[in-house]
Amino acid sequence: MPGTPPPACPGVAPIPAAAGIGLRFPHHEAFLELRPPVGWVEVHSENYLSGQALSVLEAVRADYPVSLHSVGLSLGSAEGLDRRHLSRLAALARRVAPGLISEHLAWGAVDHDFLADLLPLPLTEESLAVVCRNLDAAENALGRQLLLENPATYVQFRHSTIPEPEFLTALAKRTGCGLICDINNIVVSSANHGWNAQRYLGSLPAASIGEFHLAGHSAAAGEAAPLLLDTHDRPVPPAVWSLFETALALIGPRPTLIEWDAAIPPLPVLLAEADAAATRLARCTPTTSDDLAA
Amino acid sequence: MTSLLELQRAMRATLLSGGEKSPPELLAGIIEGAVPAAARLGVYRNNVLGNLTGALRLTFPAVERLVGPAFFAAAAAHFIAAEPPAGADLYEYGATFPSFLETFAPARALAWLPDVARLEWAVNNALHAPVAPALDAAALAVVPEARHPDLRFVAHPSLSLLHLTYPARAIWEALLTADAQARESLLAAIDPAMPGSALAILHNSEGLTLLDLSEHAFALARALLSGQILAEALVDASPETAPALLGGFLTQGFFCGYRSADHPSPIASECTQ
Repeated sequence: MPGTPPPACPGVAPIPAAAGIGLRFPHHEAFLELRPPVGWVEVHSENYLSGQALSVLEAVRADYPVSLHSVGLSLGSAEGLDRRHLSRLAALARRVAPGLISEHLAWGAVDHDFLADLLPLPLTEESLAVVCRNLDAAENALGRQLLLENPATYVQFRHSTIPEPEFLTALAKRTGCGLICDINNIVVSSANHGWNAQRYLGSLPAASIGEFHLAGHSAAAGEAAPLLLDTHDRPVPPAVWSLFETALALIGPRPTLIEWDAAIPPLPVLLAEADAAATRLARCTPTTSDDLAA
Repeated sequence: MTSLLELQRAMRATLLSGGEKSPPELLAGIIEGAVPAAARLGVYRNNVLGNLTGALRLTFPAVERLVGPAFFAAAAAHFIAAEPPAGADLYEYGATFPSFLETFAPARALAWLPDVARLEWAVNNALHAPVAPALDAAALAVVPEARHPDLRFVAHPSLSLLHLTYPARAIWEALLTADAQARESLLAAIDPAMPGSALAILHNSEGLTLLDLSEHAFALARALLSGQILAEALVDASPETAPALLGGFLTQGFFCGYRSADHPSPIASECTQ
């Protein structure tokens, strides 16, 4: 069902165009103790769907806007979505009232086997129809708009017919979804496929972009060299900061997330990265409510 | 041209294949550039294996300590290829890992390994089960005593009952001791030939709770949680000890509701998941 998705439920704390951090288990205790001055927090939805971790998220949510970032919806699955998982996600969203909910342009499940990775899609009309259908189903179940993230990929299929930024633009146009512009993923995919990162960035529909992601990556060894790997295991490198500055100039300020998922450092290191993002956001044109609504 | 579904099935087969060669038609459909198609797919194969092994490692840390990281990774790789997860909720992944370990030939010398894994699975369930209020004695008071024999108790979703052959609780506690030296001396003091025990594992008002149960208590708890009415469950129980045992189960939060023909209790939706 194309068009404007339903408005967010009452009680939602919107995500400001400020720097936020991805909150991971090793930082739960330190974060609740320190209550650092970050603008917002993003968590992986799948880690809080049940059980005791949810109480930590609720404690965080009491004081911070929270964004739910999913990795398991598998919006690119040809067979459609896992309804059980989707209903659990919807229950979490009702409970947490997140400012944003997001997923990836990827697939991870087929024939009820879940492969626990963000796998690449051939970018064809068939895939576009599949992702549109699944996005609509997800947005209907969640009762609100989703943001879809550009993936980091290592494989391009020969039968792809649509360049990735055009594919994302078509998705936003057809479903009304928003987009996450993951700067690190653009750097990684551009290196892996010989794309021009600046041109990719310039081809994205600025008005649909609701969030930036920043992270570190690493270089593959052995037969996979010189691929870049989306490892989120180190500080944001200069190439990503530089493309982020270009993005701010082209697109304007948006909520900006620091992701660090492996070799997780002490919380202050992550907060310093968020400060570095905040400094760049502050240099950008002052934010108005119109910018956020864009 | 291959449909998206066919491509996804081919990818699944090759990513779960544990390093075997990918089919030529899949490789031929991938743009190579400076990196061969097989190496590009290999990144995803490593991710799938690494992510799923990581999920098992989180649930079974004592098993990993017992066998070491390399052995654990090898066992996990076999298990993942044979039984990949059925959904994205990875805390539900690994229910059959204990029985897999039982049949995994290289682990046969460690007879107590499956029991340690069973214990860890029950702990994982206790931590990830829906948070539901426990049934307390006061809630039962609304049912006339004459109707008590007809009650069927509903298990708290965090509760597991285990009957272990080996002293897996002692082994588990020793393995998860942070200090390596203390861990070794605790482990050295355990005779694996010692008898195992019956255990209840749950998350109650005290947090994660492991309770050693007598044979009587285990039999009664299992009868009550099998869906029998109270009168049936008590048939084999000793009339002297059963009331105290039942009171203990209620205090510990074993149940989250009851069903009765004429006094339906309002059972929280978390209880029935």
